Amino acid sequence: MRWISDAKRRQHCAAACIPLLAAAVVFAQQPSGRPVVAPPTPPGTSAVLSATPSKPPAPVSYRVVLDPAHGGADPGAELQTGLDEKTFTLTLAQAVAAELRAHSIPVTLTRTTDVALTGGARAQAMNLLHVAACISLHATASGSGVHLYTSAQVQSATPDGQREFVPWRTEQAGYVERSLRLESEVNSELTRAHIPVLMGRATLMPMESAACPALAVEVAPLNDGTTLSDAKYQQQVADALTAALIDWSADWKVQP
Amino acid sequence: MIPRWQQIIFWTLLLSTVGMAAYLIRLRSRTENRLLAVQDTAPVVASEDAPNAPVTLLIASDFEGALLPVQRFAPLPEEPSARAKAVLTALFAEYATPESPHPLAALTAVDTVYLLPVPASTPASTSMTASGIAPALNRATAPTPIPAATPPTAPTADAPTTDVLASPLLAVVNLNGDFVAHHPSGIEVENLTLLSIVSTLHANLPQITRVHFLVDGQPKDTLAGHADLTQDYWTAAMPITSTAATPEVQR
Ligand SMILES: [Zn+2]
Repeated sequence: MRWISDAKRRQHCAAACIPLLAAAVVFAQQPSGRPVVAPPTPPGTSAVLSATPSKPPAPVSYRVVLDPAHGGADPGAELQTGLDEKTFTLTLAQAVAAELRAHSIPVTLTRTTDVALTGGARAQAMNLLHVAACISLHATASGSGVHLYTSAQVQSATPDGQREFVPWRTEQAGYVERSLRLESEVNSELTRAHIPVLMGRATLMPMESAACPALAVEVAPLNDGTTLSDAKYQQQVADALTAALIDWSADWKVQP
Repeated sequence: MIPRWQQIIFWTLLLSTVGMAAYLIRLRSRTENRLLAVQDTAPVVASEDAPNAPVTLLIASDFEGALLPVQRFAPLPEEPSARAKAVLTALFAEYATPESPHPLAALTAVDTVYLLPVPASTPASTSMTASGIAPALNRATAPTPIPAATPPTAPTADAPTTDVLASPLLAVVNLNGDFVAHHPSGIEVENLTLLSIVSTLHANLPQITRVHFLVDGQPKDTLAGHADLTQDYWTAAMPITSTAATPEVQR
């Protein structure tokens, strides 16, 4: 009887002390009140890994992926009254695709209707095909001419196909040099068509996850008052992009 | 009857538990106060009575796709967070003017700027370049308008020399949600806004080497559908070690 009482008392002591200690420790680890801004993680170091095949098959034939940005519930920019970016990019993509097909160049569009796609889904469409050029098409009411953007990542030292796993959103690092060459060819054709070009580097999806020479093309109105709904301007841009992608078909295999 | 030795053990354990709990609470409170010290000193509204001082604004131009430095005078409080916010207030006042080369809505753009020490574990270089700065300065068709060494207006000799000023700083810029909702959409126009903020902060407070963006206190994927807000923007390849250093903006 005495032994049972002692044991009970010990249990009571443990029951009283341990939760108090535990509560104190947990409380100390969780500052409350005004939120503290947590230091963000460094860019490009996401722990999520995408299972890129260790040796992606090289593209056997020249193929282009055109990615009309936005779509569905995401209209993109309102370019002018009644013209959304999603509609403009789809029209432009279809025009370029038609011209390329007329030159017997295979083309894949990430979307052919007004549907919403995630950046990941677009990148997947690009990466499954192992293509020679991936062009994302955008449009804006700001600035003038055509803005060309390549990834802000630095070219990775490890050649493509030798990396077992590539961190999510860094696949483009293996293609940056070729993307810059592709950008140069597009720049040449647009300049030949007397369309002003600005070139820059940015972090954009799906470009960061594209395992192909990739470029974002953003079409803006012209300084002389030409709007994005101008059919002649649209045709000029489509022709220049087509010409650049025809040039690229002869150059894309050349190693940098 | 409880034996005396058990009573002694019980009260000793109880006292030590209460003592430890009190110590932990005090420790936690001290840590929290230290973390919030910088934020607490940031006034909600920049002081109107602060003396006018020269500021360097890196003004974005949509047509040139570049940042152009201009000198202005603005009331600059001494406290670094308030000074950073005052500098950005002066920047966005320029964008609200009718002749702005990068027109933005005349709304409050920045709610708060928090300055925190750059985490020591930060790798010197990651797979990303200083993507914040690189885009506007890598224009092939536009001249680079930023001088090799942007003259800093702060800190000056009379600037406060606290610990905050002695080491590289991460600026957390909390953008106003209403301003973001009215921001024009486009890769170039959005990136120029971010680069303008990052470069202007660095030009006036060279200790700021890294900028993180929030919108209404929350993380957001993009500014207006394009420019990435999930990553930090770096103002220089290497962190600075003294306030006297004026690192060249990475090209
Ligand atoms: Zn877009």
